[in-house]
Amino acid sequence: MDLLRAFDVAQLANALALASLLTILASGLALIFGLRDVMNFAHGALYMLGAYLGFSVSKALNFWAALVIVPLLLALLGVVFELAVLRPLQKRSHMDVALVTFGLALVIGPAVHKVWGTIPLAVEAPAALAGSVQLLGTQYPAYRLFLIAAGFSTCVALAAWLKWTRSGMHTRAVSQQPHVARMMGVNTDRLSLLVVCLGTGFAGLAGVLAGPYLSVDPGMGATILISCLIVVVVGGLGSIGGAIAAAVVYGFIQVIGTVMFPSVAVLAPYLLLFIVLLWRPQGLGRGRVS
Amino acid sequence: MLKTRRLLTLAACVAPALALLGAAPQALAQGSGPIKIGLLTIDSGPFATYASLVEQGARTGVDILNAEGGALGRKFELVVQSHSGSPAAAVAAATKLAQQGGVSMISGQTLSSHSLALVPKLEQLNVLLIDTYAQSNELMTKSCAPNYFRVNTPDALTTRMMQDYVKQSGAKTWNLISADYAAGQSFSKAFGELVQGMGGTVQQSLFAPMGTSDFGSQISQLSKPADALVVTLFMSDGQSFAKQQKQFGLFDKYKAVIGNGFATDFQLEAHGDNVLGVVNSLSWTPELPGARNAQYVKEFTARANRRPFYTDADMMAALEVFRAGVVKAGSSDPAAVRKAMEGLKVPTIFGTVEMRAADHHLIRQHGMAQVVKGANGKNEFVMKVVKSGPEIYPAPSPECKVQ
Repeated sequence: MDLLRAFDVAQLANALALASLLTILASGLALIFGLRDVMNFAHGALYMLGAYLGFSVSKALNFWAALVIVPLLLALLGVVFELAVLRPLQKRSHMDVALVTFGLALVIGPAVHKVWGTIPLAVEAPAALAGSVQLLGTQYPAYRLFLIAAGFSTCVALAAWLKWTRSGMHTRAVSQQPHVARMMGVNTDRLSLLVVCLGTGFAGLAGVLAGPYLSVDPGMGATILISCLIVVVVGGLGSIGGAIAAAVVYGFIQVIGTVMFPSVAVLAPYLLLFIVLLWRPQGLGRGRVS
Repeated sequence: MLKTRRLLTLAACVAPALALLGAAPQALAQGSGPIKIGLLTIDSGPFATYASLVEQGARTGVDILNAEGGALGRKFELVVQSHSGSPAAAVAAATKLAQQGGVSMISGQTLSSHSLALVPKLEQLNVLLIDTYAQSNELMTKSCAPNYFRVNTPDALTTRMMQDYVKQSGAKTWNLISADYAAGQSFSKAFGELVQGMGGTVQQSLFAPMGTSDFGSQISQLSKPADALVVTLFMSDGQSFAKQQKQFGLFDKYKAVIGNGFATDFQLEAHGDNVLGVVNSLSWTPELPGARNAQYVKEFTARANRRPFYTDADMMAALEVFRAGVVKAGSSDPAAVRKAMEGLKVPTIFGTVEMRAADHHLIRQHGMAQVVKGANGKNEFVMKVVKSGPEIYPAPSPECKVQ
């Protein structure tokens, strides 16, 4: 009976909605890790910044404008992040760089609180997506369906870029054999700039998409970063395909857990992490930026 | 041998001096200078979002009391201590306030789990906790403590207030969604008993962990509706739920929706139309009668540049009761103030109310209010019913031992 409830259409769509948001975020995190070998602990804070900027741009213009402008703004911030933080520190240990990104998160958080305050902000879905639609006999919010479509389209676009474009091929090459790629004439600095901008842009995109889906509040960055890290580790550090698969598994585990074992559902993602690390320490994916 | 004796003599002299030095901040704070009040606030998680409002409410309350002359010729001073929100962090923060901050009384954002963790430590810390936040019934039964007082309304009272609505609604079947922590569990248990006692049934009682951001799976489960729904979700969790339920059209499927700490006055603007029609427990509004209340609203609005919320009013009442205790005791020493506050009838913004000696609870009013669209197009609360404390407070529990 509970199993049937966990697998009804609405619950499956809920799992996919959560998975698509995590997919966009985790892809950005995996991209930066794949190329720069850096676990960017500021990713959650950048996502939060994206959500707050999305709130302001939606208010001033509209949601669709925010969906374009905010990822571009965050990509610009990615330029600063790459040139001022990652590049000067590229010869330092992983721990040093990770701590710097953690420090950045600690700076971005209070700065956001200072500008927008600590009270949760409401971002309404655009009028066209505000209501609900019939989904196989169940009323389901149109915005969540849009989120699922947006999330998975982004992933398809990213996969296509990696597979069929020259810069995508270089990204795969640098993430797997950086020295060989450099010897073959790949400009790793320029590539790194592009990938970091993409990663932070994805954080901005996820932030804007999260506005009408969740609530825009000061804790949103920290909460999602933990989920995102689980997804990236379960997917295999730096693997885009693995991150997508892990995000879907995460979404389903979370939803099934909430319906069937509500009192321990909060532990389900950690259990997933524990099992995957025991069974397949390299994660579900096939390696870096694959 | 001589050296050992000298060392022992030195230790004998130094030890009492050190003990005196350790006790000095508290002793000085309680004897002269400002009377220090500790305020606990939460700086992470869903409750952090409204910490600044709590602090503003307390600061304004203290300013108002100081403008009225303070107590015993001394001014009140607020010492704020924030923490991460876990019960252990609350205990550590309260310990710091008592031992280093020299405060006589603590209040602020004390969730039920925090107060339950603090209660056994209060006497040892020689500090009073005047609660304005925790709702758990346990704090008026088996977890009563000599140094614990409460001015806000416990769950038992909210359930009592809802009794009339349960009857009026004609609903026979109920669904509940509550926060998975002490107050949510305590309330859902009490509400379930109330419904069963009136011949109804609770079809589903769901719990959501604190900090849940996506309520999609809970809302989908609640989409197989009963006659009425009760929502006990707080702060940003409540706000996320309100927004998401609107997208699912959840509330439209129920004849009645009742909120407990869900559609609150300080969240009303942020909720927008997502909570329109919800009937929520509300223990105070600026419009309640009484000259002292009207004066408070006027003073608060002028000082804080906003109207006070019920949480601000609870804090003001806590400060008023504490001040009355200090004046009666002639001292800010926690033991003396505790004794003075027991059974004290205090003129407050709630009117003249009694701090019941048997369980240290302020016997004050409670009410139910509905969110409606106001004449100016903004959502507002309309008070449906207000009952005085003696009408609704249960008799003191025999389990409660405060002496």
